[in-house]
Order: sequence, then structure tokens, then C-alpha cells
Amino acid sequence: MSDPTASELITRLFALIRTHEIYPYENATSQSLRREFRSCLERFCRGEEAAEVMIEMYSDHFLVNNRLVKPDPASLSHFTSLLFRFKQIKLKRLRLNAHVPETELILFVKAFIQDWSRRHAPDAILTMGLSSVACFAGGGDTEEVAAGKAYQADLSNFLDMLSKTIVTHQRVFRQVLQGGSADFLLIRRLVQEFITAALQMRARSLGFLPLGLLEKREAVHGVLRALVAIPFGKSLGLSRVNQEELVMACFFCAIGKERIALELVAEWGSLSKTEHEAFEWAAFQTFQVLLPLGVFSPSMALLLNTGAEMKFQQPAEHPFARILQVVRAYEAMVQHKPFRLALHPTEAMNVLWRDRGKSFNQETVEAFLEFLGPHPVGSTWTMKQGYPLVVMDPSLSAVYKEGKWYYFHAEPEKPWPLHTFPVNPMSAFLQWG
Amino acid sequence: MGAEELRRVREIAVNLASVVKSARLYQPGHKSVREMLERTHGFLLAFLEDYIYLELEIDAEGMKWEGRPLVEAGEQEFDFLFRFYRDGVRQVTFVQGIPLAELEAFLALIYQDCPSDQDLATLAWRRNFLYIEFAVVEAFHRILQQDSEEEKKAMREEMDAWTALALRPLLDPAPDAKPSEEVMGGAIPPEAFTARERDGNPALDETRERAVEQVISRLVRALESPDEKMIQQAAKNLRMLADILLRQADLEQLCHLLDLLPADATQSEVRGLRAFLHGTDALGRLAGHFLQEEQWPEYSMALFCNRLGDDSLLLFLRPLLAAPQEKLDRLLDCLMRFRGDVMARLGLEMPASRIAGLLDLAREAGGDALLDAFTGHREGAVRLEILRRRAVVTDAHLEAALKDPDRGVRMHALSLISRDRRAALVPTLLDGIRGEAFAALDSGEKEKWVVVAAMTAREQAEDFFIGFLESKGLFASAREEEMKALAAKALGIIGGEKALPALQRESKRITSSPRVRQSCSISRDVILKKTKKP
Repeated sequence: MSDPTASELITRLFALIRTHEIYPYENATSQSLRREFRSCLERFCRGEEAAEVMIEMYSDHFLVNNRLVKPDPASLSHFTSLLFRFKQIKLKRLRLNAHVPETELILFVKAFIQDWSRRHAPDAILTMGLSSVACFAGGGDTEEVAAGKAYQADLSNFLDMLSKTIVTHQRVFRQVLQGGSADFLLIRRLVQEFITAALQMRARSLGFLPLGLLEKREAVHGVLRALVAIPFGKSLGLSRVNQEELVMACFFCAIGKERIALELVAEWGSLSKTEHEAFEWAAFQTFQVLLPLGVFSPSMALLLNTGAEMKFQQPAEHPFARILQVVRAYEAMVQHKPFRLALHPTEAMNVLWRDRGKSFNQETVEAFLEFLGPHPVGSTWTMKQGYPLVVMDPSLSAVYKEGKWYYFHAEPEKPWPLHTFPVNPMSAFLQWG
Repeated sequence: MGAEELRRVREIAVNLASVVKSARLYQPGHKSVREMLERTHGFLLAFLEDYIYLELEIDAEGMKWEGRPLVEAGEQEFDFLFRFYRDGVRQVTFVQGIPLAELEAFLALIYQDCPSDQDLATLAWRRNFLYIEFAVVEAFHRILQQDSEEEKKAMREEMDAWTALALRPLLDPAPDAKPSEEVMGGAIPPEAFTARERDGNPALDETRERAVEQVISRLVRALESPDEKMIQQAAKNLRMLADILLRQADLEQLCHLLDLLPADATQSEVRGLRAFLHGTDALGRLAGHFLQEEQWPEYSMALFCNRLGDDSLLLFLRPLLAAPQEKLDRLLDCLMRFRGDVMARLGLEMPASRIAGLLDLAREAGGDALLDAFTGHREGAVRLEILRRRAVVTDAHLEAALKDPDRGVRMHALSLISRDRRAALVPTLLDGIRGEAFAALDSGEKEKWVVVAAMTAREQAEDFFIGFLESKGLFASAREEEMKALAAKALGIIGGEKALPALQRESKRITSSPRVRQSCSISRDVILKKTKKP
């Protein structure tokens, strides 16, 4: 028998509790469920080479032994129900010994159900006094520890969604470009889930832009653009609907340009007027790619219009295109290109500032700079003593010293370009919490 | 949780189902729907007051609460809940304090039409409920559903590669390229970074609302480009768009498209697209769509129809003749006032069993003038109905009706002539009686012709019928006998003394048939009685 997964453990825990809500403890079904759970627990701990398992609930996610656990379709409602119960009885951590005796397991289940049925004033699980089962409510953590745990849960979920989105979007992008079909309904669902995960990171999603440093594929850059667009959209006060449309535009509005020969793109500066014009209406080519999909909803129409207005070196009129022009330019500037190294975020902001009103809509540039601030999240700097520093948010920096990241409020001094930065700046975001 | 709680939860579920059903029958804002919604909200609030939340699990077998079956899959009144299941929702949780507006918005999700790239799950996310939570299957799982195990494995490896990229201790070496010449920092004034409150939504919301129209306008404008390639591409895109709009039966946007393609356009691409949209293929497809639909948007359909030429409108309406009468009549009612001529042409193709409603609509909309347009109908029953509906029946109408191939029409015309004493039509009546075709009529009708002639213009008809009575060898013998008998009857009705000698003679003539002699006798006696002569 293979070792159970963390997901299975969670599902069995829920089944254990649910069964005891319905059947008496001495009932054969209840006894069977307890036996199965204990066996699952033992085998899981054996697979983990651990004497116990820690199940934590932070930020609407389960962490099992510090790893995010997400449900599969079959176990979704069990996960959701168990999460809800944990939240209602204010249970943050549950520690279970690999060989929990049945008597203690019964006492734990009874206490859980008792607190659950009371709903208003849980406390039985906190005062069980058992040796193999321990429960901790949120009150035991300091604010910093609780924030760190919640951040880790959100980060794990974000990375999971980011990788799923990149991989799926690449596939769909390729299919659509080759004239194949795509289920735009599922794509929208994915976009919504991605937005939810990214918003939980606040602007820290910007810290993962270096994933695109050497990346050539437009589909990947579409997702990375969304990492910028999502928190920017939030700062603009965009509704969920508009956020979703903006991210869809990040993903698809440039798909038409993929049909232009790469050599034309590379030689932009030396193209003739006719070639320039051809390039200009190439944005229109998005229609040619997306219309054959046979979906023409208001959202698709919005996408087409946005794509048609993505002009080079000329501010767009269309409100969504205005935002997208700035976001697109920024994301492109902070990545390496064959003809130049990645710009530091402050250099990219200087370009936007200089060209506001000329290549970009002025108001949008101003809003974008307000959002980024003088020290954008994810930007790399030196500190006074010359240590490498990554901006985590306006009040927190990560400073790299002797192989470790230290997190405190530190003033960035000089911009440090990525191509000479001595450490992967994304690790600052991964190790915090 | 006991039986009482289960009963309360089921009561809430039943009430939710009733609200949905009522909203479909009436309209969501209708008074009774509102009342039912408020009652349901009351039950839900009371339950949530006691239990804080209500968690409804939905799976392939049905809906459960606390693991207990509440509703079985297949119970039709709860089909709306299984739409959630189909769209990936596995749990719906209502939380204490839910306001009425939010419950109303939840139910509006269910009865609104979803665009083709949205479903209940995506619309629920957009709506951002505060007191209702949805557990939805991750899209990634559904996207991979059709993949083989190998493909799934490849996807997961690719995902792991991206995570590993983020986890590396060092970034990959930079390419061999120049650093930028931009200035790092300092060029932007500090006040540019002062954050301000912004509401970026109004312009975006407005743009979203007009997006569909803008796409169509953009493509049509592109047809005026000096670039031939652009024109061809725009035309191709417009044709694709037209196909999509037809498939979606999006009448509003089809109207918009038609409005932007002028009838007097010289460009072949525009003419081609117009011809396509006005043609059998496009209009047949559209009609086919509506034949499958339970409800018709009659007003939108009428607006669309008004943009079609007469022949195109017929192409669209002909297939719709197969629809139930009530639906069809509502649409034709919208069209009758403005496209009466086309309705008449359509009516000419409708069977008698279906046309009554249309004739009533025609009369209401255009009176007798519009009814005139229908008179060419092939079925006599229809021509009769037209005659019956006329507010004013002229002599010309009746004269035409007397010559109608349909017996019913002729008989009705005769009744009207008799009722109204239309003396001007007597010559027509008499010509008809004298004509060759009269012999082919059945006896009932023949008698009616004769009686009506007699009653309508006595003096004119008296000599006519006396002439019949005294004629010899004008007709074949059987016919002569019949005509003489009828003539005798007519003379009896006319009642003039002038006929007495002829009646007397024929009543006693041995060579006359018994029927003729009898008929003459009866009529003679009637006249004598009237004049009191022995």
C-alpha cells in the first residue's frame, strides 16, 4: 500500500469528524473510520519520516508539515467543510502523534464536535490535556508569527497558481495561435483564481518578475505582466470585473503580434514607413486570431478592442489599452533583451516619466508611479554598508548578509542592477515568514 | 442536528426553488416574486441566527446538508442547484447576516443568461459576495481532464520547473548585451510618488458596455482603409463576426451591424456581407434558432425585421410559421403596423388553420385596406374569413365573391346580398343563373342564388324567371326541368300577378314533369292567395 498523501489525510480527518457527528461512537462505522484514520496517520508519518504531523490552517489554506495542501475535485467539499470548522472553532494548529491511541482520538473528536456544535464559544479542544493530540488557537501566536504563517500559506498558494497559470496559458496561447480551439470559460476561471491568489500577496507578486529575465515566450510575459497589473489595478480601485478583463488583456491582447515576423520586430528602428504602418495595424491581427474561436461576448469584444489599440510609441485612447501599454512597457523594460540588459525599476520608471504624454497616457503613468513608489517592491539596492537589499514592501526590506536574509526596515541607498546582484532576489520572498 | 433542523433547511431550499420558478414565469421585479424572496430571506436569516451558517453540498447524487440527503438529483424544481454542480461548484455556504440584496443577487445569478465565456462560478466570483461562499473545482483540474496521464505528468513537471526557477540561489548569467544608458533614480520629482485615491472604474465600465458595438464599428471602418489587404482582412473578420452573431442569435448586434452596412455601398465587400445577412442561409439559421427557443424577444425580433427588405423578411418569417400560434401572433402583431404588405405576402402562404390570428391583426392594424392584400389566398376558407372580417363590403367585393371558386365564399356573398338588398348586383346574379357554370352547382346553392335574386329585385327578376318558365329546349331536359322548378319557386317568392298565366299553363302542361307542375301550382296558389283571386 503506498503512503497516503497529505490531501488524503485531511479528507480522512473530515470523514472521521463527520461520521461521529452522525453515528454513535460504538457504531461499527465509527469504529471503522477511527481505525482507517489511525492507519492513514501512521503511514503518512512513516512516509514523512516524522513522529507526528502538524496540520495548520492559515489564510483559508491547510498546511501539513509546513506544506500547502490543496484539494482535488473529489475532496473539495470535505476540505472546504473542514476549513470552515477550523475557522469557526478558531483552531489554528492541530498536532497529532503518529501513533495516537484510540481513546485519545475519541476524546479529540468529541471535543471538536462539542465546540463545533456550540459555535459561539469554543474551548473544549483547547483544554483536552491529551499527550498525543494538541490543539492551538490563534491567540497563542504573536502577531509576527501569525503574519508569517499566513504569508507562507498565501505564498505557497500563489506559487502554485503562478506555475499552473504559466503552464496552462502557454498551452492555450500556442493552440489558439495555431488555429486550434480554446475553452475561454475555463481560461476565465483560471484567471479569476490567479487574481485571487495574487491579490493575497499584495504587491509582493512584483518580486517574481525576474522569472522572465531570459524568457522569450510572449505567453509567459503575458502572465508576468499580470503580476504587475493585478496590484496596480487594485491601487486604481478596479472592480473585480475590470481586474479580470485587465488580466485577460495582459494574456491575449498581443497575440496578434505573434504573427509578425520576428525579424521585423528586431529591426523596428530601421523599418520603412509602409512596414511601420503594417506593424501598426498588426495589433488588429488579434481579431484574426481570436474571432475564429467563435466566442463573441462583451468580454471578448473588450479584449479585441484593447488589442487593436495597442500601438507603439503612441498613447492609446482606449482606457484598458492605456493601462496595458504602461504595464507592458514596464515589464518589458525590467527583463533582459538581446540588445540590452534589464533596466533597474528606477530606470524603467524614468523612461515612463520622460515619455508620459508622448508614448504613454500621462495620467496612467502618474498613477503607475504612485503605485510603484520610489522603491518598487522587488527592486534591488545596496544598503549603507553595501549589503544587497530587496524591497519587500514600503516598510520592510530584506538584507542579505552571510548567506541569510534579514527582514527589517532599512533604507535603500543605491540601485543595484539585477545582472550584478549577487543572489536571487526572489529567495527573499520565498524565505520570509 | 436533528429532524427539525433538516426540515428548516429543506424549507429554505424549497422556498429558493419557488422564487426561481416564479422569477422565470413572471419577471424578477414582479410583486409576487419580491414577496416570496422576502419570505425566503426571513427563513434563511432565522436559521442563520441560530446556526451561524448554512452549508449546502452539491454532488452528482444531489444536495446534502451535514451529510444528510436534502434533494435528489433529477428533482426538476431544484435543477437550478445542479447548474452550480455542472459549473464546478461543490458547496454553497450562506453566512449569518446575509442582507436581502445579496440573496437577491444570488438568485439573479441563476435566472440571468450567461455569456458564452461565463458560467455561474465565474459570475459568482465577479459578483464578490460577502455572505455567500462558493467552493469551486480549480480550473486547472478541469483543463487537464481530457489529458492523458503522460500529458498530465508533463504539465506537472513543467510547473515544478517554474517553481524551481524561483527557488534557485542565483539568477542565470545575463546575456552578452549592453547595460542601459538610462539614469538610475533621481529623475522623477518626489511628489510624483504621493499616492492618491483613485476610482478607475467609470471609464472602464463604460468601455466594457460599448465594447461589442465598438468591435463592429472598428471592423466596418477598416473597410474604408486605403490598404487593400486591410480591407480584405476586415471583410473576412466581419464575416466571421456575422457568423458568430447569427449563431448566438444576437439580434441587437446584428441590427447594429446592418445599420453600419449601407444599402447603397459600392464596395464589393460591403455588398457581399449585406447580401449574406439578407440571404436564405443566414436568415434560415436565425429562424431555426428561434424555433428551438421557448421564449422569443419579440421586440428585438421586430427591430431586426424592420432592417430587412421585403423579400428577406419573408425568408426569415417563412420558417417561423412552424412555431406555435401564440408566439407567432405576438411577433406578427409587432410587425403588422409597419410591414403590413409583407405580412400580406406571408399570409398568402399560411394555411387556413393558422391565418385567423393574422387576419385579425391585419384588420386591427390596417383595416379593410390591409385585408385587401390577403384576398389572393389560395384557400377559399381564408377568402371567406376575409369577407367576414371586412368592416365595409362593397358591391365590387360581392361581385368578385360571387365568382369565387369556393362555395363558402359564394354562399356568404349571397347572404350579404340578400341581407343588404344589393339591387345593383341583380344583373350579376341573373347572369350567374343563366351561365353554364350554374348547372354544376349543388341544389342547395342553386336554390339560394335563385331565392336571393328573387328577393333582392323582384321586378327585374320577374320577367327573367317568366322567360325561364316559358322557354323550350334552352337546356337539356333534366336541367330544363330543374331550372323551371326553380323559376317557379322564384316567381312564387316575387309574388307578382304577371307570372300567373305562365304558372297556370305550366302547372297543367302534360309534357312538363310532375316536379315542374307541382312547383308551378304551389307558386300560383301563393300568388292567388296574396291577391285573393279565386
